[in-house]
Amino acid sequence: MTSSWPWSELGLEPTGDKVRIKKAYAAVLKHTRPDDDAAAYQKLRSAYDAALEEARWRTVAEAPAASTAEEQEETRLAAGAECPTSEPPTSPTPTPHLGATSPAAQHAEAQDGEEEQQGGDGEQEAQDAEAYEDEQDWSDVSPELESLLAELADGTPHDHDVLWTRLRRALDEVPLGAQAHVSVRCARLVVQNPALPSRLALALADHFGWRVDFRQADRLGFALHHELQAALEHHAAIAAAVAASPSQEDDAWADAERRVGSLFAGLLGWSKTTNAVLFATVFLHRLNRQWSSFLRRFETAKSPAAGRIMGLSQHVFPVATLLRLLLAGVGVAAMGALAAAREKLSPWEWLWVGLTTSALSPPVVDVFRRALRTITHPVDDQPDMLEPLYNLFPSTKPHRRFLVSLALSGGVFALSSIGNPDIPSRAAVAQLVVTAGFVLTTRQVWNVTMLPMACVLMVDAVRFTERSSLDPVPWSMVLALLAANHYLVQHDVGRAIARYERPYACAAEDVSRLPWYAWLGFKAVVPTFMLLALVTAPRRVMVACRRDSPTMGLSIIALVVWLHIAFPFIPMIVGLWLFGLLLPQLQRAAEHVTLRWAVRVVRKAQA
Amino acid sequence: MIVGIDLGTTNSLVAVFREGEDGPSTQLIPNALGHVLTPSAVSVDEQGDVLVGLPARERAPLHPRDTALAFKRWMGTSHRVTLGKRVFSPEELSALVLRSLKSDAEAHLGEPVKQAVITVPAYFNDVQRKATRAAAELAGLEVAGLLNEPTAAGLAYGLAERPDHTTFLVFDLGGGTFDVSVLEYFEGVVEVRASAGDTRLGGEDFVRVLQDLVIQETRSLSDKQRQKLREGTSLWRTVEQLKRDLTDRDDATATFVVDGVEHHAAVTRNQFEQCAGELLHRLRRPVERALMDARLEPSELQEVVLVGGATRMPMVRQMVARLFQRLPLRLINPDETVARGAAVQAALKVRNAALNEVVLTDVMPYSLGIITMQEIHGRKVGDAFSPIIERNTPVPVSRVETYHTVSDDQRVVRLDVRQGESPVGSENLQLGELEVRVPPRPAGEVSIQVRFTYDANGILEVDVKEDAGGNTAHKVIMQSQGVMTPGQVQQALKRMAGLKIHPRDQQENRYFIERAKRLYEDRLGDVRRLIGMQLAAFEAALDTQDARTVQTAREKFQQFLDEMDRGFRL
Repeated sequence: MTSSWPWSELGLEPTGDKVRIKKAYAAVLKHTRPDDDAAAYQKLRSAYDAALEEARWRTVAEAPAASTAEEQEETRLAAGAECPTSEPPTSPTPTPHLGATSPAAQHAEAQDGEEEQQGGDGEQEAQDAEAYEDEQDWSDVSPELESLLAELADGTPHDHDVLWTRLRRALDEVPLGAQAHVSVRCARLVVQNPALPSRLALALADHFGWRVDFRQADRLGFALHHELQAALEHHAAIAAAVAASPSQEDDAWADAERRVGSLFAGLLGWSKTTNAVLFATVFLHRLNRQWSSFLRRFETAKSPAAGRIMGLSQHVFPVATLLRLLLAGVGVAAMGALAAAREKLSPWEWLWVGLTTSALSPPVVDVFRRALRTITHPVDDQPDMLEPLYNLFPSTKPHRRFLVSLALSGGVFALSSIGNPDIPSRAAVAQLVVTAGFVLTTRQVWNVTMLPMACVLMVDAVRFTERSSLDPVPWSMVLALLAANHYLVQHDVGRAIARYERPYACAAEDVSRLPWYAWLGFKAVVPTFMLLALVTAPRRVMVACRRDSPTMGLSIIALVVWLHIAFPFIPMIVGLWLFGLLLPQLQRAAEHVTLRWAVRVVRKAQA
Repeated sequence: MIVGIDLGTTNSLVAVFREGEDGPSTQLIPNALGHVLTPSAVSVDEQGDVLVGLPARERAPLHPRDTALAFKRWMGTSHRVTLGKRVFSPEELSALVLRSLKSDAEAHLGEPVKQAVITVPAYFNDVQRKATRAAAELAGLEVAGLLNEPTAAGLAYGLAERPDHTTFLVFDLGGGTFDVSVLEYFEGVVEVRASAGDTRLGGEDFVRVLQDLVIQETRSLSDKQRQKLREGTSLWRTVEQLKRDLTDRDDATATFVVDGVEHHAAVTRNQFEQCAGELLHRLRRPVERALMDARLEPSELQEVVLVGGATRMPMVRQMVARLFQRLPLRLINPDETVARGAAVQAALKVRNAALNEVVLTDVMPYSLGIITMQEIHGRKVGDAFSPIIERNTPVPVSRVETYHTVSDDQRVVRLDVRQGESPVGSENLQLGELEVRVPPRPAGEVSIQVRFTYDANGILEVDVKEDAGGNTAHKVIMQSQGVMTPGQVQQALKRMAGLKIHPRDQQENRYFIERAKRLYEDRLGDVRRLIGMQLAAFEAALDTQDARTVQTAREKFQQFLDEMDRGFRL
């Protein structure tokens, strides 16, 4: 054993006797006062702490059996003391393992009338907590609390106000010594039961201070802490949505929350990429159809003046259809946003996704197809079985090549994300297939590629929800969704593809109108983002402006709107960029909006 | 001479450590009324004179708009109080109380008092501490040191009892703040192991809860009256009396007059305890946190020391008893202990020979750190708080941490220094910012060392050294001086000089007059007329300006008032 530092600093021989250490420390401290010589005091202090730490080890090594008799009385303390002797300390440096022995050591010290217990880091505490958890030795926890926690874990329905009052009372009765373990246990409960009412989860968080103290990470263990924070964030979002809804009838809310929560959790996994892509795919069928109908009418009207005002005139293109179109776009973009946000893409990655999405958006794809058609089928408007093949070859003209590469970039992105541990490989594959779906157009291709893909996605959704903490999806729902998807593919898409054919033929006559179509495409994409930003921004932008400047948030919105009016192209870029910055908030906002809407629906149904 | 001052939410005290009849000891200094407690109350009367202490508090029910109570809660905020025609900051109001204490001390000691040790709640943050220093500056006191209240209590307790090798917990529930400290006493060393607290929880909150209960229980009030009572402070005294009654008894009745009608509200202790459940609940967390930080099992504590007037409430004691189960509660005079501890610390500052064997080591109750970006599961997460000096580290302390750049070709690292416990950096209190230039390299290849040095006077120095290029930056962040610039101090002092402070030798007369006026409003019928007559007689005696006449009249008047008013006085 070292007999130099820290003992030399205290003028002592190495000892396990804490009283002697304290006496020596006190003696030196009298002429090394902290306010006289800070540096000397710090030196002394660290020596003192080290000496106490070493003394603790000595006590453990010397008196392993001393506490056995007491152990029976103080079962909880003993629960953590699994191996007091198995690892006699040979070095004064603490190692994480020894944390498990500390309760016995503490106990021995307490018997000696000593109080000092230094050292032990967060990991140790977490391990201790684990040990207690594993032992299931809860002699200190009242049976009342025990049964309440069990009920909560079972998901037994309750009147939550009454439950919380009872739980709170039971938690208040928990002796101080058992607090840490109850905290860990409740944290697990929150993480493992996402269906727990948000108010309850947040009340628990307040009770244990999970969200206000960085040391909780040590106490709970790193992994649990992070899961817990994510869960609490979700609950906080729901709670905020409740608070924002005009009237708060808690029961209606709880009911809505349960239903909608399980529905969305099951259906979409709330924004896992795979599920979002699934959703977007379904939506895109509709979008495609709408756009082709729009283009067809536009072509038929052949009226440049009406075209210039972007089909706002009633007889050329009904406003209602346009709005529906935009809303569908919002839906797709929102789902993309949800996916990206949950996957925690960086702003740049999001920009990439955004560009890909816009490149894949129906108008752009239409323009792209039109361009391909010009080359592959100059006159004939009959479906061509070789079309998929042609489509895969880039055209020779530069602007067409650009369009093709833009569309294929989605595939590139998907490929590059295979192997990225943060993005499920299924999502990447799904993206690839969706890209292919745009490039390959015949119904056969849809049937061959999309249907199996949908199956894969559904199975994945089920697996995902089983694995994660979300409510599992019943297989009956999976089957129903598959049937619905099949119908869509057979019926809707088939018709939509038939309609595509005609505009292509028209465009073949006039390639010079291509930029005009491109312009229409952008026009359609920009409002999508704009609308989404406007729907979700007012509160969220302010959050982004660090919660202290509402004016700043409003001016950002105003600026974006003005830019949209003045320069239609700039806001798309700005919008995308802002979108990336605001993603986490947007995601939450989208959830709020949906949930609020759902609450209203449920209330109406109840009324 | 350095005095120790306990600047409390409800009451303030001044004490001094000096040679007494039985050896050197702490002595509490009485004010002009002969009380050791001076209520922390400021009022401006009709003539624009400023009243401080008990006369001011007597005015609270009648002149709620012109009287400020419990302003310590607003310390360090931009909250302003308008009394009469003047606007006061909480610092100025505290300065008026401190000035009154200072003149009491000077009158009692017969020598000018220039320096003071002032106690603050352990859980006061830097801004609140600065505000306290500013208040002292305005009162013409040099702050010899700010001392944490539970530490002061522990110091006084440790020295008074001299327990051998004891670890104890100080549970300090004052008028407006709640603190918990775990202390250890051995061989004359008073060592603070951990502090935690809640600066927005105290006896006044219990009074507020009880006030709501009283208003709710008084069926004879109209809605408008209820609203008005709820917002104002006019019921404070009635409710405070009721609170004290409920300490001794299981049920009590509050009687008060609103718009010339007498109202009664019967409240039981049980009702009060139920309404205060939420407050009691908030007492738990700081206790848990302090024990956790001190790495102690509750069984390792030998004692729990209760400090602060609010710990007199039976429900608080029961709560503590339940929390610690078998631990003995040490009941000391809860109002005076903190001031005595401050006096001891003041004596330590001047190296009083009687305290040669005493050393105090305190901790930093808040964590200090910077905002960083952390990588969690491969994703970069911004706004993460990285503590450099964790809370409850003994001070003075110097700690160093190494950080790396986050982006390629980063040229500057900006350090955002924060104080607090939230894992989210921006939720903590910002103390300052500084920048250091770094050579442009790929992300993560440049490392900087950040050293935080925090001393016992609350000065935080930040030193940043970049490893490769040798760039450095240095900043002193929590300066103990320079809270206000000399210009600002002069300005504030000038504004304060414009105030007419009610003369000290008239305080006693003024107190009786204000008390009589309050009683007059409280009573009805014959009693009211009687008080009115007595008051008129006393004022007539004052007008004679003959010292002996005034003296006799005052004694008579006091006797009369004491008979009339059986409520609490301090």
